[in-house]
Amino acid sequence: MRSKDRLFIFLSIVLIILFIASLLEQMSISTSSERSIRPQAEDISGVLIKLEEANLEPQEARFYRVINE
Amino acid sequence: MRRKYFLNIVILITILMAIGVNIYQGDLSDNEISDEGITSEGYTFNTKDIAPEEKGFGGHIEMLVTLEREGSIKDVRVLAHSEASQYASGITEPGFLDQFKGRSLRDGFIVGEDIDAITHATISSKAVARILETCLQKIDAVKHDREYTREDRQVLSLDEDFYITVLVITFLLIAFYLKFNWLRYTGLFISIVYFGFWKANFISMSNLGNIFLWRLPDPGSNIAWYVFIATGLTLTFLLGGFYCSYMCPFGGLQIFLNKIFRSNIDITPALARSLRRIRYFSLWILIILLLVLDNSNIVNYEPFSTVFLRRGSIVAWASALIILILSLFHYRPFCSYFCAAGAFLEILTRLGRKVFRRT
Repeated sequence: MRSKDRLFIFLSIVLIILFIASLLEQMSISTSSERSIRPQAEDISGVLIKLEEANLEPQEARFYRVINE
Repeated sequence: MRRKYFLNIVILITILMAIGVNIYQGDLSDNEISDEGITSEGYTFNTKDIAPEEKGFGGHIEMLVTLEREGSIKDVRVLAHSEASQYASGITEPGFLDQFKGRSLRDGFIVGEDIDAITHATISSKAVARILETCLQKIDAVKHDREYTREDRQVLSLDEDFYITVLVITFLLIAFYLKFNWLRYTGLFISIVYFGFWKANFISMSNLGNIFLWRLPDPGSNIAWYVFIATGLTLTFLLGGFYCSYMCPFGGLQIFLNKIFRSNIDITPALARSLRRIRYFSLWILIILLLVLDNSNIVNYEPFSTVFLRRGSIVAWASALIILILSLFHYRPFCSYFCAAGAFLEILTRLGRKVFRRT
C-alpha cells in the first residue's frame, strides 16, 4: 500500500471519529433538554414570583397580572 | 347601655359599607388597584397558550411576554425553543429581544424593516416577530370583542433576499448552460459569499431532515429559503449534479482552496471507491437517527455551519480545519467521501438520469 493511501486512511479515520463525536455532542445537547433549549430559567423564576393569576379571558390562555408591590 | 349598643351597630354598619364600597370599586376598576400598595402594571402570558400555531424552524418558540396596560410589549423572554443551536442562539439574547420592547400593533413587526434580524438566523428572527405580532393581534381582537382573522396578514413577502437568490441562481444556470469555466468560478465565488458567508444557506442533512420530518418555516416570510432548497433539489434532479457543482458554497470553497497549490495527492482508485461508500453509509445511518430521534438538529455534523457561521465546538472546528487543509492537496475531499447530503443529491441525479434517460 502506498504511503499516500496510508495517510488518507489515517485522516479519514480521524475525521470519522470527529464526525461521530460531533453527532454525540449534538445528541447530548438535544436530548438533555427534551429536544428544546430552555435558557434563562433562573431569571424567569424571578418574574413568576411577581405574577398573580388574573381572571382575564383571551380565549383559553393563562393570563397573569403583573403586580408592583 | 342602650346608647353604647346603638353606637356599636352604627360603627359596624359603617365598616361593612366601607368594605362593600371597596369591593364594588375594585370590580369596576378592572384590577387597577386591588389591595393597598399593589398596583397592576400589565399582563403576562405564555405565547404557547395564545399562538401555538406559529412556528420557527424547530417548532413553536415559547416566550413569556409582559404587556403594558395599553397593549405595548413591556418585556419578552424566551422560555424554550427547538431551533438549531448554532444558528439561533441569538434569539435568547437581550440585544435582539429588546427591539420588541415598547412595540405595539401600531408599530411594525417586519424583520428587515422594523426589526433587525440576527445574523444567519433570519428564519428564527422572523418566527419570533410573527409569534409576538399574532399574540398581540389575538389579544386586541378579544379586547375589542371581535373575531380574530388572518386576513390582514401578508401571504407572501418577496423581500430582497428573494430577489438576490433568484438572481444568483439565474446566473449559475447561465454558467451551467454556457459551460465557461470563468463563469462557473465567478458563480461559485458569488455562492460562497452570498449563500455561504452572508446567508448561511446550504442543503445540509439538517435541512433535508427538516423536510423529511415536515418541519418547515413559514413560507410567507421565508420564500428565499424555499427558492434556494427547491431549486437546488429540482435542478439536481432535472440537470444532474447542479447543486454540488454550481450552487454549493462549501463545495466552491474546497475548489478554490485546491486551486492555491494546484497539487493533488492522488490515491489509488480502489481506495477512492471504498472511501466513497462512507457517505452513503453515513446517509443511511443519519436517516435512521432522524427517524428514531425525531430531531433534525442532531444530524448536524457537517463543517458548513462551523465555517460559514464561524461558530462551533472544538470538535466541529477540528474536523472543519482538517477538511479545509486537506482541500489544499486533494480535490473536494468532503464532497467526495464524507458528505451525506451529497450522497442524497447523487441518488437524486441518478433518479433523474433514469427518468430522463440522460447519459
